[in-house]
Amino acid sequence: MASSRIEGDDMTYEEIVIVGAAESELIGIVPDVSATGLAIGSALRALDDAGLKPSDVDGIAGTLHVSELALQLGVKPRYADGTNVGGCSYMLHVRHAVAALRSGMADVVVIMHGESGRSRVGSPPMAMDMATASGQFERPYGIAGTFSMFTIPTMAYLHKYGLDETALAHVSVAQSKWAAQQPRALRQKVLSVEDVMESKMISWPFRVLECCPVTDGGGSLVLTTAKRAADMDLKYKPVVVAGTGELVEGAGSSFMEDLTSFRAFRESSAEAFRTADMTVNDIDHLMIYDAYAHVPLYGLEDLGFVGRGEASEFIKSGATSPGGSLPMNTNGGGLMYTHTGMYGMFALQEGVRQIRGTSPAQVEGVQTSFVQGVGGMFGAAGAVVLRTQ
Amino acid sequence: MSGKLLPNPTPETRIYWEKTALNELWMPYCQTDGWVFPPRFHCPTCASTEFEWRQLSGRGTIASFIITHRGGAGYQDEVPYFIILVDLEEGPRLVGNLYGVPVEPTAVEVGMPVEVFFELRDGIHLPQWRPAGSKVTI
Ligand SMILES: [Zn+2]
Repeated sequence: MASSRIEGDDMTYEEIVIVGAAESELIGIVPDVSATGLAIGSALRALDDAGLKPSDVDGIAGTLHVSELALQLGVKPRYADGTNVGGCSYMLHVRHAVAALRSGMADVVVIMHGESGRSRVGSPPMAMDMATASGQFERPYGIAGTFSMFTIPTMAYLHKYGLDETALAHVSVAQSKWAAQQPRALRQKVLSVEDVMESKMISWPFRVLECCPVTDGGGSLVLTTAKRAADMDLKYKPVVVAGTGELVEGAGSSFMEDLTSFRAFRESSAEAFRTADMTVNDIDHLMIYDAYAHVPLYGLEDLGFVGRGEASEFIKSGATSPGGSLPMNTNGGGLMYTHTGMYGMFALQEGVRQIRGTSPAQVEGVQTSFVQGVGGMFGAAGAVVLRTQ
Repeated sequence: MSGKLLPNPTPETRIYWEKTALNELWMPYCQTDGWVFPPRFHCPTCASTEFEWRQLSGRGTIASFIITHRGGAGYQDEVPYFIILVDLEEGPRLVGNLYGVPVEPTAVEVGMPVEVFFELRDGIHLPQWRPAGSKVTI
């Protein structure tokens, strides 16, 4: 039982589990905690889930400076992962930690996120490197933020399938129904299509309620082997990392191979399904990183939950809403819950909560959760399949 | 100074920006695998470094677009404005702004033909776009 197999592979692998998972005490608007403080605060809470102290940690990962994280947490890790490909980096950290734990490079790995996205406490000014491909060929054209870059491929998608702007509004409407059950969500109001369509225009066809708010927050995960976990004093049953996948496609949305489908979604999810030995039919609960309302449309199709061009109708039908067949983004998503800038950690946290049975918007009987991240505005993707032990 | 962001050309892209200064659009071309964009010193498919630069027609179609209501650096007084993706006739895709049409969603559509013109910004010539046949410049 404490093992998993990869199709076509004779090896059996040791089971890796999440024994700690927590967000920072406060999320949303947190003007008196630094980015590092948000990360460390959440790490201590996550360690507490497993009765662990910093001295028990020998591996760390994060998108902040890992040496600073090591110093501040008070550990001297023999495994450190500073992979940063944008908001899905934490999915990649989970994948790398699984490999490190299986190979004996580390025994207890803490993956940390902290970002003062809104208040910018203890955060460097946002700088752009104008020598990169994006700096030379995208950024000079009045791109004020992700809302005017990540969103650009959307019209190609809507045009291809003969859809109008309300395809985006329905994503926000569906997720607002989950957010209404989440006391920590920044946006908690149940929305109608009219509410969304009448909200402030940001970047046509995107209204403000189809764009993530910018917030402050932190979150951490503690991973170890199932064998070690068995000897720990755990607050919650371990959550198994059943499969993972990642793909780095490139620089960003204008460089996508296909504006209507994201290769890194397709390939990272396929590898996660394969390594978990599961198909879409095995998934009870889904998180798709949604910085903007078009991303779940791409995700549902690229992961194979629906056919091409069908995602909007699927969401509109209520299938992803409370009571639907495929509960998706049950924390309200980045659109409603919180979006610090690199949201992936919060998608993972909700996946863990649903497997533990502790989400404020708990879906009954969740045994498996698929968590799909995107980073760098259609630049990279990471996928993690979680299941009960 | 316009206050707008400027590309920082690198040795890999030097010829691209030298050619735009002549109001021309050029990119590296591999005999085996075709256009290489963004420009670099090798073909990402076959790794050849023996390829030539070729001129493109400057004609293309709108592949996707947004109308942003929040201006980027130096663009604050121009909102709302188009940011578009152009699929060039020859294949590569470029980002740019669209001029010469009313700034309304109904004024453009995916597939609409456009042509390049060049904006001189603080010493650098940037490819920009207008409807095919239009004489608009900025
Ligand atoms: Zn080649």
